[in-house]
Amino acid sequence: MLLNADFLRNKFEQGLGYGDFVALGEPEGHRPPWDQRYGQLELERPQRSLAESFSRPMKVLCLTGTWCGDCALQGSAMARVADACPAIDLRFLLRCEEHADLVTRAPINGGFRVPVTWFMAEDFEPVAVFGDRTLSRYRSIARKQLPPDQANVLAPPPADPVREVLREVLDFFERVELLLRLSPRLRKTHGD
Amino acid sequence: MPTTTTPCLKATFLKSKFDAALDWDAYLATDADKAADWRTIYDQVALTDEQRRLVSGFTRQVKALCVSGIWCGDCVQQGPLIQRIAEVSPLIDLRWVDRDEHLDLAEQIKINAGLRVPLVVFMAEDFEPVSIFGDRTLTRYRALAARQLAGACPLPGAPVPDDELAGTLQDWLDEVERVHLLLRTSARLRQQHGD
Repeated sequence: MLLNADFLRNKFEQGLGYGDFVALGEPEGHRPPWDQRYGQLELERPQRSLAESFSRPMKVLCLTGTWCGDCALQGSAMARVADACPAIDLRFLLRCEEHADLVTRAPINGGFRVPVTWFMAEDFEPVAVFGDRTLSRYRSIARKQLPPDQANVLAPPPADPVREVLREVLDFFERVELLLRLSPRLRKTHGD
Repeated sequence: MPTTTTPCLKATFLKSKFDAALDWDAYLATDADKAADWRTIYDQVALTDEQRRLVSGFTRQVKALCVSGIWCGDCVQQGPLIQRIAEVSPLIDLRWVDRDEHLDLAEQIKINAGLRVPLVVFMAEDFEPVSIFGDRTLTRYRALAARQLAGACPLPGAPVPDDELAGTLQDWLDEVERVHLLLRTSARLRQQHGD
């Protein structure tokens, strides 16, 4: 699931920035959810300050689908974080035949789910892989899909489910930033 | 640049590693001296009633394989928390492997070019991989950053504040809950279990 740096670099170089990726979607069908989520997910001031403080170059590659609602939400949240921080280079790859070599190396629970996101150091060494949904999204799905006596969700629903995903995504970026910032290998490289 | 062939974790490989892994007691018995630090942290933490209620409500099997080093400070400070979570539910099967004795696994899950531990590979009941989590949680990284980037370096074996342990426990529990819900809502497994 973590793959290796050369492979990830190759796939990253084929990736698209947020705007170019979203433009791949059908204007009448796929694109509106991405635009809607992006519009809902402006960072609050403390979130922006945190993202702006990230100092280590970070490569992020999201395998995703323009047609996928969870991808629109998580992908837009990641784009908002990346927009606030020049150290983050975020690319998107469409889950398609062309990238089957990546898709088939990222199975989750026996299926080829999206989104799956690889977080990498500046030299493309993998640091973390995350997918497909965040905890708050799974709690929401369990509440909706499972009988009440089987859902086993004790946490109360978030006040704003969309922004809760942004908080989770930002937490993930922060963890990766701290891993990279505290890495002896990279501290030696950067002399800090 | 040519595409480099790269492996991915297969269920059959993970099953073989899981079958070769140790349970908590057997793992700690591999080094009785170092196990004392693990037991100190184990005795320091406990799940809250609410956390216990959540984990005891799990209905899907979760296989968890922790790649660890009994000598590793981060493993000492996080491993017992993962064990505490697993003990609440008979459906969580947590096993331990020593990183250096299972390099064929460790090499496939390197983080930032290093063989970091602890790393937990979460799997479905049939060993299909679901998530890889580690080495440190966000709470651990925040605490470490506060200490290291502020210039303060704790002595090895220095006590871990209770709130840091509680936060780290919650971080791990969040990932365990996420994995369980992924499995519980999985169409593949719902069909298999008829639920």
